[in-house]
Amino acid sequence: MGRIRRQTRTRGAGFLCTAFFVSAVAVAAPYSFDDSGYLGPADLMPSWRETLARQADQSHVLDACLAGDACPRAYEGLRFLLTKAADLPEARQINLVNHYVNRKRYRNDRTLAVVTDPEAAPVKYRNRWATVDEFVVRGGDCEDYATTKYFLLRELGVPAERMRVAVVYDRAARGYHAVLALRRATDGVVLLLDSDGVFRTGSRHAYRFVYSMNETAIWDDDAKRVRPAIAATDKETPS
Amino acid sequence: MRTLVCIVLCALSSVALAGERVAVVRSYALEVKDRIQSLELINVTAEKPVSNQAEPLDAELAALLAETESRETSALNAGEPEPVAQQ
Repeated sequence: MGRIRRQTRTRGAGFLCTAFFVSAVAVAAPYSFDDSGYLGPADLMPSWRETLARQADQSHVLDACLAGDACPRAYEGLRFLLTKAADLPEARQINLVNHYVNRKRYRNDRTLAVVTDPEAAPVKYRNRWATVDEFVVRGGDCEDYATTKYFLLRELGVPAERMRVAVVYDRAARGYHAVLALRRATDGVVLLLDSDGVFRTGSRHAYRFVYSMNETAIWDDDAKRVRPAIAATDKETPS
Repeated sequence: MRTLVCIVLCALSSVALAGERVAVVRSYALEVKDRIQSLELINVTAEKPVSNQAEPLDAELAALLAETESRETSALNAGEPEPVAQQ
């Protein structure tokens, strides 16, 4: 009887150790830039598709500014920043953009409506992803910090295939959050550019990755973890 | 006769295979659409104050950032309306 109890206790301790180890590994899981969670092209998600369209519409103003043409006064700072940053190595560009965006005003945009067609009724999304222009003028919340970093680094020449706006579940804050995941060109290290100013790598975060996107595609990062079969099925394309 | 039977069997199997392929495509479209809709429902709102572990800026980048902010502030003080965004 005593031996059975001891065995049970030993098994219980073993289970707890294993659970602790598994949870520690889960917390430490780095973001992966592989395509295993590929869902489809970026325009599948309406709110993101419309943000990309708005950014494309608005980017000509910034492009004209950078080309030395007429520039709205509100863009004077951004023009200065991007012109100076263009000559810097990529690592310093990333640091500069991260600091610039993180100093902007935090503003919860949960209730804002997106108006894309003036004749159509405004569409409300749970998340409203900001363009550079919208963020510079009004500020934004965490997903806007991430999208603005993405668009500014694209402007500086960082390729889209090395960046994804990642929506994560923050186990520490118990809420959903957005960061910019970026794979460095020099060493392939994946950085998470966070709105609190920290570059997180490897185990330095308590995030569970939910989904991510860039201007080309959307990835279901949860599917990589718990539903590999669905991710594999979704990769099927009509022939 | 044997050739005819072979041709008919080949035709039937190709039709059956073609039908199966269409079914797979339909299943893909529905699953992705459902998943995207569920992802759209996630509310991304967590606010994180700037951490004391934030990456430091060297003097050159700090000066660039200070100049950028000074230009933005002077533009704001000039009171020009928003450049492009309309809402």
